[in-house]
Amino acid sequence: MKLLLAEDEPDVQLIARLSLKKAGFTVVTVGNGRELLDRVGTERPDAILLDWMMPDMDGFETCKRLKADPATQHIPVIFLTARVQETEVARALALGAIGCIGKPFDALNLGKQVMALLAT
Amino acid sequence: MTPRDPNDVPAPLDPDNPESAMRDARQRFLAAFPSRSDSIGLMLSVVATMGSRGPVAQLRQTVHRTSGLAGMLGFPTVSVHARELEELLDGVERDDFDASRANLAFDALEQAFTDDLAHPPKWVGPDPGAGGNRRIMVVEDDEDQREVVCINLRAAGYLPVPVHAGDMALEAARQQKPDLILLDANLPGVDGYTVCRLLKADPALASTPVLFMTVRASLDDRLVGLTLGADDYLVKPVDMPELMVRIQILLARRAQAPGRSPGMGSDETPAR
Repeated sequence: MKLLLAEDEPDVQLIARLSLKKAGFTVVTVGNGRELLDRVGTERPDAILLDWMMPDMDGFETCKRLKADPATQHIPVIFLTARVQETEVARALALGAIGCIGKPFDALNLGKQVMALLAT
Repeated sequence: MTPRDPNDVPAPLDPDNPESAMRDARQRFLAAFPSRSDSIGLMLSVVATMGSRGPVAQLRQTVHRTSGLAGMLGFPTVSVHARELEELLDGVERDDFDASRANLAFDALEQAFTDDLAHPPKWVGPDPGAGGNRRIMVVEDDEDQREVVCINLRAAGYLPVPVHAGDMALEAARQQKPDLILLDANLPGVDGYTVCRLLKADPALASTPVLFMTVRASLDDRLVGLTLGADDYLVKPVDMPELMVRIQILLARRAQAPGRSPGMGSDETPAR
C-alpha cells in the first residue's frame, strides 16, 4: 500500500517514513501541502497522511482541495496533528478525513495506527 | 594505542531502522536544545512586550516544532510544557495573552529538559543516558574535587581520565585522545587558560570540547576562557547534574559538527 506523507519537520518526516516502511507501506514524502497536491496525481497513493501545521499550505487547506477534486476525493486522508481536541477532530472529519493521529505520535507504532484507521 | 573515533555516539546499525533514526534525531535535538531554548526565550520576551507586533508566528512555530520533536524523541515533559506555551500564545491574537503564565511555562520547559534527559526511553539503548565509555579528561589539582567529578562521570558511564597538573594536560590529551576535557582554570604551574590555548592550537586536539570549571566567576574571566576557544564555562561549585547535561550537549554537538561521521539520515534529510 502506498502512502503520501506531507510533513515539514525533517526529523519527523524521516522517522515516520522509516516506521511506516517497516510496517510494510511504500512511502513517498513531501514537505508541504502544495507539494503534495503537485505529486498526488502522479504518485496515485492509496492514502494520504497530512501534517496539520505546515508552511506554504497547511493540512486543512490541502485536504479541502483534495476533497474538492474528483480525481483525488476518494483517497483516504489521515491528519497528523498536535491538536486532537474534539472540535479539531470534528473539523478534520467534516473535511472528509477518515481520522487523526495525535502528535507527538508513537513513532514505533505509527504503522499500526494508520492500518487501524484505514481498516475502519 | 589503537586510534578510535571520538564521536562514536550510538551509531546507527541499520539505515532502515526507525529506532536508529530516532536516536540520531535525539542527538540532534539534544545538541540544538540550548540555542532553541534561547531563541524561544528571546522571542517570548519580545512578544511579552510588543504583543501581536512581536514575532508571534515564528515563536509559535518554533514552540510547535519543539513540542512535536520533544514528544517523539523522549522528552515528554518538554513536549507538554511547549504545548502549554503554544496554547498560551493563542491568547496574543485574542488580546488576553498572559505573559506571566507564558514565562512560567517557559521556565518549566527548560527545567523539564534536564528531568527528561535523566529518564530516557528504552529505545535510546540498553544503558540509556550513559556515557558510552567515552573518555572525559578531568584536569583539576584539588584531589577531592577531582575525585568527586570522576565518581560522577563513572556513574554516568564515562571513562574519566584524571590529570592533576596543567603541564601534564597537553601530553595526556595527546596520548589519551579524550572526547571532552574538563579544565580547571587555577592550576599550579601552567594555568588552565594556557592549557586551553595550547589545546586549541594543536590540530589533533582543537576539535575536542573544553569545558572550564573554575571559581573565577567574573565576566572577564568567562570571556577570556571562551575567547581562548573553550566550549562552555561553569563556575564552581559545580552542580553535578548540570555538568552531566552540559557534557551530553557538548558531545552531541560535536557529533553533529561538519566533517564528523554523520549519523544515519543526515543525507536523507531534506533541507528545511
